[in-house]
Amino acid sequence: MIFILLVFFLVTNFVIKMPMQERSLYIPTPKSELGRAQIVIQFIDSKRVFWIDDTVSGLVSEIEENYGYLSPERLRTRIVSELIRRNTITAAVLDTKLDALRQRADQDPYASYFVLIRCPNDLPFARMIDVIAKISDTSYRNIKYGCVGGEMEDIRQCRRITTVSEQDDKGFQRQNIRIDF
Amino acid sequence: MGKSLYEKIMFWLRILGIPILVFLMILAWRAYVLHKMPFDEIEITAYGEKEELEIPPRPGVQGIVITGPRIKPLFFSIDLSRAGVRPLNWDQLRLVDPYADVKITANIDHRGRLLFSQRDVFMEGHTKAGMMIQQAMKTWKYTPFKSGVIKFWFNLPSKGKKVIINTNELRRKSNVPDHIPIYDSQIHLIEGIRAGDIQIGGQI
Amino acid sequence: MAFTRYEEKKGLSLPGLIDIIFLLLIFSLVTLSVSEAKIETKRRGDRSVDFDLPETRSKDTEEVDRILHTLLFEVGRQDPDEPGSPRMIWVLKPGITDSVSLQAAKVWAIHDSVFAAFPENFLGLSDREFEETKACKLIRKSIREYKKIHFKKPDLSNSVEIRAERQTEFRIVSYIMNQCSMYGDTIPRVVLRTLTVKEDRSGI
Repeated sequence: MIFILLVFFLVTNFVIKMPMQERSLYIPTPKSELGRAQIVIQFIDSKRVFWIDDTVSGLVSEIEENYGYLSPERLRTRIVSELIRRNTITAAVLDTKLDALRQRADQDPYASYFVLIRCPNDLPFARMIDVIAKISDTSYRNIKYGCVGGEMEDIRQCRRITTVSEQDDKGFQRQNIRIDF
Repeated sequence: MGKSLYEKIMFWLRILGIPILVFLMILAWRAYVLHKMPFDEIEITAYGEKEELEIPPRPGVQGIVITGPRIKPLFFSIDLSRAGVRPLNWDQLRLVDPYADVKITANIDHRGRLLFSQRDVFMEGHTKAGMMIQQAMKTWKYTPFKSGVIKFWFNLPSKGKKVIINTNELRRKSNVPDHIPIYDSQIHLIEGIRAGDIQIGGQI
Repeated sequence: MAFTRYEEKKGLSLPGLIDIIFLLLIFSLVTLSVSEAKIETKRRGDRSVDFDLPETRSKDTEEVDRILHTLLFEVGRQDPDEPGSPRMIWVLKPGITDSVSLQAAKVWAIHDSVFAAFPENFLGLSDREFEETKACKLIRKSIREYKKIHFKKPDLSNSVEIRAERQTEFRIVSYIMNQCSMYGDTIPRVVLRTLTVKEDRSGI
C-alpha cells in the first residue's frame, strides 16, 4: 500500500513537471570594444565547433618561439592553422567540455568565467541556446556568457594572433592570447 | 477637593496616551510599508546612498583577448637542493684574515655551476683567505635560468660594503621564454654576514 | 457453555481493492496527463507548442506571462506549414496600460502593417545589403522609436524581446542584438523566448 502510494506520488510529481511553458532567457547585447573571455566557442557549423581556452596560450607561445624566423604573415597563418587543427571539436566533445567547465565552476565559488559564443549567420539560434543551457545552471552563477555573430573565416583571416602578457584584475601576470580582426 | 492619585494618573495617561498611541500606529504603518517595499529600495549602504548601475558583462566585438594561465616568475638563486652546496663562514674568514682582499671572476654555465680557475682569482697576500673562499664557492650551484660572468669582491677591511657581487653580465638563458620574469634571489651563500655589508650589482 | 464460532461472511478484500484502484489511477494519470498537457496549452491559446520555440532546460530562465511588457520581435514563416516560405518579422508593442496580450499585439501588428519579410537569399547578402532590406529597416526604426519613448536612461530592465522559431537563423537575432547595442548600456540585454519545462510549484 505504501509502495503504491509512493509510486503514485512520484508519478504525479513527474507528470506535473512535464508540461512546457514559455520562459525568457536574458542575453547581453554586444559592445563595440575589445572582447575578453576565458573561453571562446566559435561555431563552424551545427556539428563542429572551434574551442579556445587558456591551454591555447602555451601552444601559441611555442609556435612563436620555434617559428619566430617566419614573416609575420606566415607566422600568423601557421599559428591559426595549428590552432584550428588541434582545437576543432565535434558537438559531442563540446558537450563534454561544457560539462567539465560547469563542474570546475561548481567546485570554486571564487572562480569566474566568461564564455563568448560566436555564431555564423546561418546557424539556427536554438543551437546557441543549447550551449547556454549547459553553462548557465552553475551553483554559484559564476559562468557568464555572451553571444555575437562571427564566422570561422574571421578567425582564419584575422589580422594578428599573438600572446600578450597582461595583469589581471587580481594583479597576477597572465599570458593571454589576443586576436585582432 | 483635590484630585486623588488615581485620578491624577488617569489624567496624565489620557494626555500622553493619545500621542503615544498615534506614534505606535505610525510606526506600525511604517513597518508595513517597509515590509512591502523591495529590499533594494530600503537598503542603506555604509557609504551612503549611491546610484550604481550594474550591467552584466557584455561581449566585445573589436577583437578578442582570451585569458591565459598565470605567469609564475622564476627566481635566480643558489640552488640549495643540489648536493654538496656549502656556505662560506664569514666569522671564520674574519678570524683567518681580517684584512682579506680577494677578487674572483667566475662563470655560471648553462647548468648553473659556478666555474672559475686559479687565474680568475686575485688573492695576492691573502692566500689563506682566498683558498677558504674558493673552497666554499666551488660548491655553489645556481638555478639554471641565467648564465654568464659573475664577479665577487671580498673586501674585509672596507668601511663600507665588505662583499660586492657584480651580476650585470648575467643573461637569461635562451630556453627561458621572454615573457617569464626572472628575479634575482639568493646570489651568495655567506653565513654570518650582515645584510648591510653586501652589495649586489655594483662595479668591481 | 459452548462457544460457537462466529464466522464472518467473506466479502470483498478491501486492501486488494484499493490496490487495484490506485493502479488504475496511476495508469490513467500517466496516459491521460501526458496528452492533456499538450491539448490544454492549445486550448488556452498559449501557442507555445504551435510556435516551435527553441527548447531549453536551463533554469536561468524567467517566467513570462501572456501580457506584453516591452517591444517584441516575433520571427516566423509567412506560412507556418511551409518550411520554404520566407521569414517574416512582426513588431509587437505593448499597450499604454500594459495589458495587451501577445495575441492582441500580433493582431494589431498585422492591422498596422508593422511586419516585413526577409528576402529568400538574405543569408547570402552582404552586411550592407542586409541592412537595406525592408525587414532590417523595420527593426532599426522600431527599436529607435521605442527607445526614444521608453528607454530614457541605461537600466537593466530595458530590454527587447525576441520570439523566434527554433530554426531561425542567427543573423536575424544578431542584427536585433546589434541594433540594441548601438545605444550603449541603454539596452544592455535582449530576451529570447524559449520553451522550458514548467516549474514544479506543487511543493511535492
